[in-house]
Amino acid sequence: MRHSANQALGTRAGGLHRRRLLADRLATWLIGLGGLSVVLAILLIFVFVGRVALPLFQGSQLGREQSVSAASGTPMVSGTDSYQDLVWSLDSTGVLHVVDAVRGGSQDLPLPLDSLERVVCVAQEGGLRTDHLAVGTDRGRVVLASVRTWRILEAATPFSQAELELEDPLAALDSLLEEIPGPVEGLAFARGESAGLLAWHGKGRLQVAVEDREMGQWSLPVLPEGVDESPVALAAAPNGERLALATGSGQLLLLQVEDGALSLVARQPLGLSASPTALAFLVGSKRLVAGDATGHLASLVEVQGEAGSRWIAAPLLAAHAAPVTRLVAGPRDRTLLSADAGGGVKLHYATTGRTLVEKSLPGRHFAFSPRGDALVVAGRDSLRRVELRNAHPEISWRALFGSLQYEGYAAPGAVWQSTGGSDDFEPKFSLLPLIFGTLKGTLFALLISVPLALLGAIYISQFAPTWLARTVKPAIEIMAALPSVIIGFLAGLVFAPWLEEKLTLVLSFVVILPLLILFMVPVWQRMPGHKLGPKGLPQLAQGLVLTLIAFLLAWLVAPLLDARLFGGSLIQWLQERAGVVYDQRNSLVVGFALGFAVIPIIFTMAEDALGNVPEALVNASLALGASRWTTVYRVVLPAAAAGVFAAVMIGLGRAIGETMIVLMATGNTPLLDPSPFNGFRAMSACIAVEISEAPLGGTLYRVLFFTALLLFLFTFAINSVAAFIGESLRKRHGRL
Amino acid sequence: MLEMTKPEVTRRSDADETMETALDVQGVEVWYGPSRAVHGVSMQLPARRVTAFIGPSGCGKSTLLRCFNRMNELIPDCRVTGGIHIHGRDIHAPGTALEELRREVGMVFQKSNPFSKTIYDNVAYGPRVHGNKDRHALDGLVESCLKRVALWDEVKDRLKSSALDLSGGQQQRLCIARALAVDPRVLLMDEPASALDPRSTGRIEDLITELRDQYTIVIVTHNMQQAARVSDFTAFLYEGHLVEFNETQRLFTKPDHEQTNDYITGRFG
Repeated sequence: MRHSANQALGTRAGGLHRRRLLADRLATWLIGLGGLSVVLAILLIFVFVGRVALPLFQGSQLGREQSVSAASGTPMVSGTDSYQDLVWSLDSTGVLHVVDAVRGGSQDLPLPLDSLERVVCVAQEGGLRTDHLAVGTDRGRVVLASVRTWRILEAATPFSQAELELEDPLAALDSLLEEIPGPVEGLAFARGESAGLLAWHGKGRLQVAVEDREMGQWSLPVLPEGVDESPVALAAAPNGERLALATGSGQLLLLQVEDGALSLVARQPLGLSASPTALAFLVGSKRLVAGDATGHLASLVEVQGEAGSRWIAAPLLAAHAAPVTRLVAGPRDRTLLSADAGGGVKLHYATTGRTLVEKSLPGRHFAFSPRGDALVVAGRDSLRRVELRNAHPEISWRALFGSLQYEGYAAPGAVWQSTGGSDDFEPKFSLLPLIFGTLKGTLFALLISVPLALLGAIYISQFAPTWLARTVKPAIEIMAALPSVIIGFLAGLVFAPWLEEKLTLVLSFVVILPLLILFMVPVWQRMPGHKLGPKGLPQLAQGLVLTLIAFLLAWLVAPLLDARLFGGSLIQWLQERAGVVYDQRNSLVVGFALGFAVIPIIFTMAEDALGNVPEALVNASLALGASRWTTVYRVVLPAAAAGVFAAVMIGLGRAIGETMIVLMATGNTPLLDPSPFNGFRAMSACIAVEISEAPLGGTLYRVLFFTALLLFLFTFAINSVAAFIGESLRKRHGRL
Repeated sequence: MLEMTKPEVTRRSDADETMETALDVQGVEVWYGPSRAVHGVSMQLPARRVTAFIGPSGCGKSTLLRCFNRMNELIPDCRVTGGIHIHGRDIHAPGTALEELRREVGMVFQKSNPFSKTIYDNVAYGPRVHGNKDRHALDGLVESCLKRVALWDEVKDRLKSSALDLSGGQQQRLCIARALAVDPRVLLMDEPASALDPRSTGRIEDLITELRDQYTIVIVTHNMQQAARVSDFTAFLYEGHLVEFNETQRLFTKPDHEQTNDYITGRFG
């Protein structure tokens, strides 16, 4: 009986034991799974962000090479349509061979030249659907023609068709053409939105014709005095308003078209030692590259000087070993192709000076596809199409983290300006202003929040009466629950205008309050019958009274300061005397707003850490005759150092990642200026503002992801440092 | 009955030197909010003697002890009335610096509470707080204090290692050394050995015996044997009332009060 009872108990206990064991295992397993999936999720985000950003740094490559046809004759110019369905070249007899790369077969479209007339030089202006050609012949004639392509989408396999259109704009000016009796030696042609420009020369005569594109009329402006009429190279700017000439002595002459008239705007050395052989404007018309007979390249950029614009040397481009024979500007960005007599081809990015691709690619003529994703190489014996992967040529470490001379800027600088008004805008992707902005916002936020939060935490945990601590702590915790949109909104729309109006008052209050406290504490202590402590006027009341007095003083002093010292307005005074510009939404506003968001985090964690210091240690110190403050300073703070440090670090991490407040309370101006009175753009806000406008997979899109990655690494690094230092502090002071 | 292990106690209390009063307690009452923890206690504690407070848990002996260095003021809602004079000075007089009072009246707590600092810094903490920054003087002071608590030989090679590495008994002796470092006249000990093993307890008791020549020691203990072993005088408190204050030998052998007799013979407690 007894035995069986025992057995029953045993089995019941056994069942219970098994169930407990099961629950225990299950819980362990679930918790492990949860923790692991958090780590995994973070890792996945990291990998995803990294994968999107990575192509930025993969560089440019020339890919598959496809021989389209064996060329007939000497190719003078070549090209392709935007789908690369058709590849064409024009030979020296004036026949355009259009090869259908999709369906095979070819088509010959002849230019109306005389039977023995030969094409000697061609200028090309590419476009998405139409390539404009200016063809110069050995008889001194210039023919304008366009290769127009269109795509047949209705077919089972879409294909393209091309036609050759002739323009004879110069017919009206026919009489003038006779003045070049020999072959055309050089030719430049460009068509911008409102102006077109055609220049050619031969036998020491330079002829320039300009087109008013709105009226569709060509005219022949008079050449300014002193223009060398036998340049060794010439180029027309893509906007159709500029003509560059290179002379045999290496001089650059820049002619500007304005209202149909030509003026000489610059004459300066190109910076080449040998005779120039090629000249090209890049997209945007503000960069110019010249090549010479020794293979050197000179790059020039138009910058804003004190007396208007001037051209200065831009980043050095890698030189060739053989004479430069051809320079071709990329169709969409500052990519430049240079080819030398030895068959070497380099692709450069003019803004950064980086060499993107270097390859031996013999050919007589090179052209980019309209989308910049392929090259057409026309040689004497073949017409080839070469794939080009050049998605993010503008990115280099220097572009992201260094300073570059950008078009139109007075000096090299680190600039963030991702999009502009026009297609030929030069994107500027320096992350320095964003990193600087993030750090600046964080610094101002911490300057305001750390002292307030830590002193508050010390007061509440060590000095405040219980009822106050019980009220203040939850109140501050509620502060943390305030959505940052609301803080940013209030800061930007309410606080910023108020601060602008009351700047003197606020600044004088900030100065007066600590001074008043420093002054009042000794006075208070010497006053008979009063003492700092619970018996006299309560500390809290003392603080409130002092704050009130400080505010009143500031209120009285501020108008006086404004009137006497600052001539009516501090903001104006700052701008006139100190040259400091005051923006309404500035770093101070952000500091206050972001500080407001960070205070609860730092306060709560620091208060917990300070409150967790064992009472026994405090009592030990007090019993030794240490004052309350000495105890806090020498015992409580060291013991809580790890926690307090962690609190500040978590606050720092929050400030760095905070988006809405910096977005709404700053002007989002990407400046590199430490002044507290102007705004900034933080990395987080920049991502938020620009990601919606960034084309998927584009450079901006990837750069923003890269910024996110940096932000991620920032917070990761901060947390790691915090953990590391916290751990060593804990080792030194902890073990309680 | 209880055996008197320290014959000196008898000799010293029999000595005819005039006993100086170190602590003069007059009608002290302690209130925690509305409830009274100590009821009108009056007594004169002699200087350079060991006085033990005994009594059952909650009788107010610790509370009374904490009145002497005004540590009770740290407890919210705690109110102390009555007069306490230490060496003739009213500790509640306006203008009394708490720091000065507590320098003069040191305290050792029930649970050892060394700071998470080095052994050296623990002892030097008090002097430093009171403005002694002289490195050389501190070295000497630390050494003499550690010697006085018989800890010097055990720690002299690791003064710069953490005090938390010491054993419980060593930590408590360190806390006593720390209290001695500010050169107090009165040493309050709140059950200093209750958390220690018997061997460590013995060492603490020996220490108290050694220190009695220089300090007025007030020790709270729930251990009657301990009171009998180390103290010259004993006060028996019960439910906040001082029942009997007498020479230790007398209190444990021939108490004046029946209640005392009941307590020391174990009829309640």
